[in-house]
Amino acid sequence: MNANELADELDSISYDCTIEEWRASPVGSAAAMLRQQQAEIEALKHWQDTWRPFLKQHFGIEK
Amino acid sequence: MNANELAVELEHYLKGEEYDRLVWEIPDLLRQQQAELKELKLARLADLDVILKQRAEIELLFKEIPEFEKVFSNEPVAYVTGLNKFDSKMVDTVLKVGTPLYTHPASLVDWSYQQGYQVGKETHPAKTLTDEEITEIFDTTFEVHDYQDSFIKFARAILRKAQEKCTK
Repeated sequence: MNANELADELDSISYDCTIEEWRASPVGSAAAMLRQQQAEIEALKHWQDTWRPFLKQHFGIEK
Repeated sequence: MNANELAVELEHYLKGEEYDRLVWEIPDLLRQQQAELKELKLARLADLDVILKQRAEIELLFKEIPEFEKVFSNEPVAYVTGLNKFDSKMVDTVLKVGTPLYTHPASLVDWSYQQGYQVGKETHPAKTLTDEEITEIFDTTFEVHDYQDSFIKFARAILRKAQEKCTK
């Protein structure tokens, strides 16, 4: 199960509370944080995939 | 609250069935993500450092272009003005005052070559671009958000412009 799938599953958990209360709860916060961190990781990986071949091709720098 | 603090709080919050299954999974995944993010951010900083160094070197090369153009454009770099003091290299020279001096060896061979050089210079002007032309091409091809392709676009545009000058 990846972070986004886990976040979806957390969304389905409810403890007799309002949406606002749920969002403010640790479970709601965890779901949001899992998604946010996953998006950040993907953006950074995309950045690496873009720049590293360029540095290797034009400047011979391999990382 | 960062991921690690949240993970600790989650361990106290979850209950029942979910507790057994998720109490390990969520904190573990959050901590794993946090570690991965830290590593990726450090790697990005290192990459940025390399990119900025390469950029500085390229900018330095751009600044040297006018000097290279001066050397390779067959323009005289100086003229004989006469001797103010004894110079062992110049004392036996037959060059008259006003003779242009070149760094390009071919232009110093002999009179007939000089004549040919003059004719060639007039009929085939140097294929160089002015600073303004280079700057104009740079402005129209270089895009900050597309840094990677911009070098290639810039180089191709320079070559195209120089070629246009040749065929005119």
